[in-house]
Amino acid sequence: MEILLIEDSPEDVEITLRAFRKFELANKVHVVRDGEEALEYLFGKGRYAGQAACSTTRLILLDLKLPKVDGSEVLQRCKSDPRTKNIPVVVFTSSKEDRDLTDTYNLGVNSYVVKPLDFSQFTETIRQLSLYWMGLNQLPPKQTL
Amino acid sequence: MAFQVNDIEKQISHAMNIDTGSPSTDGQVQHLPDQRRSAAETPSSAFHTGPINILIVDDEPKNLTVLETVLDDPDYRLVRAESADRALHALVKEEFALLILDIRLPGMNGFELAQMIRQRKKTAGVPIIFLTAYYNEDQHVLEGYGTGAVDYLVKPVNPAILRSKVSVFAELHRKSRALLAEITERRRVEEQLRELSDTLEQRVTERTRALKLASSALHEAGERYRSLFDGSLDAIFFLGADGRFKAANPAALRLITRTLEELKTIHFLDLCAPDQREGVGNAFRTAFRCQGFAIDTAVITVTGERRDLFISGAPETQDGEVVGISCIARDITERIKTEEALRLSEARYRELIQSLPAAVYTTDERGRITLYNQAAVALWGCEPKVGEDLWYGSWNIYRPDGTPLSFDECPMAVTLREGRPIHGEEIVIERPDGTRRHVLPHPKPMLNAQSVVIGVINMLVDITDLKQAERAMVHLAAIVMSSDDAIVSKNLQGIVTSWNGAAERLFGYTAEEMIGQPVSRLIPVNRHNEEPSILERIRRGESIEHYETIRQRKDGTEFPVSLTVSPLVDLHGKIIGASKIARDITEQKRVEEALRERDRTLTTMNDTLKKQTVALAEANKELEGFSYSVSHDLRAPLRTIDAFSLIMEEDQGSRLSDEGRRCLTIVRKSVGQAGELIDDLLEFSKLGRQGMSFRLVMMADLAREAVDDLSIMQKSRQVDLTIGDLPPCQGDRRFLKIVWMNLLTNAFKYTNNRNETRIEVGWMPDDANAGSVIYFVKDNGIGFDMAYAHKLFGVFQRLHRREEFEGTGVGLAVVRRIVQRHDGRVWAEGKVGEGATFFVSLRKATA
Repeated sequence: MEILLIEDSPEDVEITLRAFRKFELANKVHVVRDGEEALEYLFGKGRYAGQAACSTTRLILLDLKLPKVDGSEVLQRCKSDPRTKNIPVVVFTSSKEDRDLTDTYNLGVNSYVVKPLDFSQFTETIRQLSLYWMGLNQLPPKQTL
Repeated sequence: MAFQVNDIEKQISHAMNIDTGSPSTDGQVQHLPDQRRSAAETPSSAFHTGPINILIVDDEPKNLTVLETVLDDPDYRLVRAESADRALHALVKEEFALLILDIRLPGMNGFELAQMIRQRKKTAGVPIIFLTAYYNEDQHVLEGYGTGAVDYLVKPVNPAILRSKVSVFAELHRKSRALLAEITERRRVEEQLRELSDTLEQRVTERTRALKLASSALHEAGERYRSLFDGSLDAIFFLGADGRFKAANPAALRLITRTLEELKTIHFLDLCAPDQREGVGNAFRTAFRCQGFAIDTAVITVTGERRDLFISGAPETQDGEVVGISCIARDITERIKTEEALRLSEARYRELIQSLPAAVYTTDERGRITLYNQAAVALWGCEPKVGEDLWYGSWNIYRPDGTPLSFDECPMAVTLREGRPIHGEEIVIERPDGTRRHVLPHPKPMLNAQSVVIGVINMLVDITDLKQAERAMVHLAAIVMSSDDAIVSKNLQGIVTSWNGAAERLFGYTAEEMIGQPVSRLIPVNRHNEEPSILERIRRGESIEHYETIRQRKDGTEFPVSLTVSPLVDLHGKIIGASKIARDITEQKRVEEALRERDRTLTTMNDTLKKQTVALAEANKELEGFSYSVSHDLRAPLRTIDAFSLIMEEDQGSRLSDEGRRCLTIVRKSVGQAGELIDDLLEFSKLGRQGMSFRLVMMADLAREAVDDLSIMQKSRQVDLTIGDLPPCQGDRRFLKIVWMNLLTNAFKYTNNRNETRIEVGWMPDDANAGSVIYFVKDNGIGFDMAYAHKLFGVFQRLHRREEFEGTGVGLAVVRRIVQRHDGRVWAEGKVGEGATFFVSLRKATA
């Protein structure tokens, strides 16, 4: 899976997947529902023992308010681990708080995107995100990972 | 003398040259520097080495020419004569080595001519050769020889024979000429030598006489020097170039305590005290540079004693080279000791005078200051010039009652004049700065051995402070008596010794009733133990300040007092009792109690306030959390509603009726509005929470920036917008931009339905507040009814229906909130259909 979606709200998961589906990317999206699961998935622990996805994941969409392990902690762990620090992380949240924006940028987030209320705009945002981070954005060569 | 010797030597050496050397090749004799010889005496003609003169005499020119041809030789100079007369003329004129004579001559013949030649002394020696063709008989030949001829030749003559004979006589002549020259020269040299010898002899005589004189003077001087050298009390010694002693006089030997033999093995520097060696070495080096020196130094004697010396030295030269140093040394040990002792004694004396606390000075017999101490300077208020200023300096003096005192009358003048001491007559002196001091002068004359006054020593005792203290005592006593505080003194046994008026009033006892009585009468029975401890502390010399306690009046009533008790000491510093100041503090106590009460109230209030502040901070924090929740959690369900409405429309749209689709549209529109509301509310709540930083804000630039941002949104419209020359203000740039954005948004919004939109951004001075400036935004929009003006700035207050103009009704509330936080004012004027103007007054920029 190339896209990891970390989202606790089932509605938002559905909306987001629907948007991905429009661009035929839904089959590349793996969904986890909390921060703990996200870390297990990326580093091959617990439920995902022995199958670390860090090498295949190309984009992480991260909600901030998550059960168990908070979104900003997931971000911090990803950005401080050599295996994952080069995977682009886009915070995709409802929060417009300046504090959240500053905090996550300090932790090294690649992009901070507020989920638009309007679904048409929401879909458009998903399209632009995938286009930019999956298509246009040039990642560092694999061997440096 | 030396020059003369040299002169003579020179002359001798010249003479020797002449004596031993031979005459030079050209026959010229070297001339001696003898002025007496004249050039005329030099026999220069005799020494000619040029051609030899030969006189040829014949009456036949042809024969003469033949002779010239035969005898043609550069060594010969042939002189022709064609008659005896001419021959005689030539002979008189010059000298000839040889005559060749024809016998047959017109007039006087050859024989006669030869006889005449022989008879003249000068020509008698000239050899004559007769040459004839006719007189060839023997008698002629004999006659010829008879006249002294050396040869008689008959023509024809073989030219070779003639040449040979002539050359013999030429050679003979040459030799005799050289011999003659040599003889002449010898004679001359002999003469010269004789003259020189005479001169020399004379000079030697003179010099001998001079030397005899000098020698006798030298001998005399030598004797003098010797006696000086031997008898001098100063050490005199001579050092060699190596610094060792060459000679030393008895005084030197005594000084250095060594024999001359010992000294000769010693280097002078070895005698020097170690700390002096460098200095002496330097001095010696000076001498070796051909300069004299004089130094103070020291040597160590055999017994190890250090002697101070003054040494002057001079280089001793021989042929311009320094070969030693001659030194004169004087033992100055005693002098230095005496000087040091004198200096010490003088210093001690001066120190003594200086350390005296009283002003002391001395004068000479005319009253001029010779010495003074610092106390005197302090008293006079100026520094006198020693030897110039008179004893009274420049100040004025007065009697104790303040009347001026003439200088003649003052004690110092009397002592100088009459030569008697004066004690204790008080005078007042005035210092340069105008201040006056009371002093007691004690002038005393200083007499010499003949009892003549040679000066005065005076001591001035400043009694100003003493007099002031006396006055102060009187004042203090008056103060004590009139004080409002009770002032009481007691002895160490607690017996009252003094009692002032205030004490009478405070305690109710009169002085008569209390003096001599124990102070414990004033103390309530239950506090009787206080007095011993107070007395104990007083005995230790401690003071007790503001001790609050209870005392008892004569009538038995008790009252609070504050006591200050201090030890009383006598002149020797011994504690003899205590002074006590007692103050009635009844009123003070009452006030203090009231103050305490108020303090308590304030503390309670403060606590409440603190609690409230904490509660407020908590509430703020909660509010923040609330805002955050609103931002995040409230938005999420809205998004879900919108998304699923759209999903429904997309997926189920074909099965929905038109009404169903309209409903869905309304749902989605409401979601949008709810979202806007949430955003505006959040923005509004942020205003209260965020800190502001006040700086200079260029308002014109900021307004233009806001317009530029808005123009993006209002691209489609033609707006006539002017921005005036707005002055800067003091505020937070970020927030003030929001103000401009909202005001301008309103202006754009409410001019939406106008054909020509005019918006003016301007300013005016604030008449109500000189420190502020008013900015305004004026539009030609729909305006408003002034009756609702007060509602304009409330949250969610709208004067128009949503269908007419978009918006949540938060914008102006935000403006008011921001302006209020700037301590400014905001208001609006308008008329329905004629546009509106919004005014904002803000603090001017401080320069």
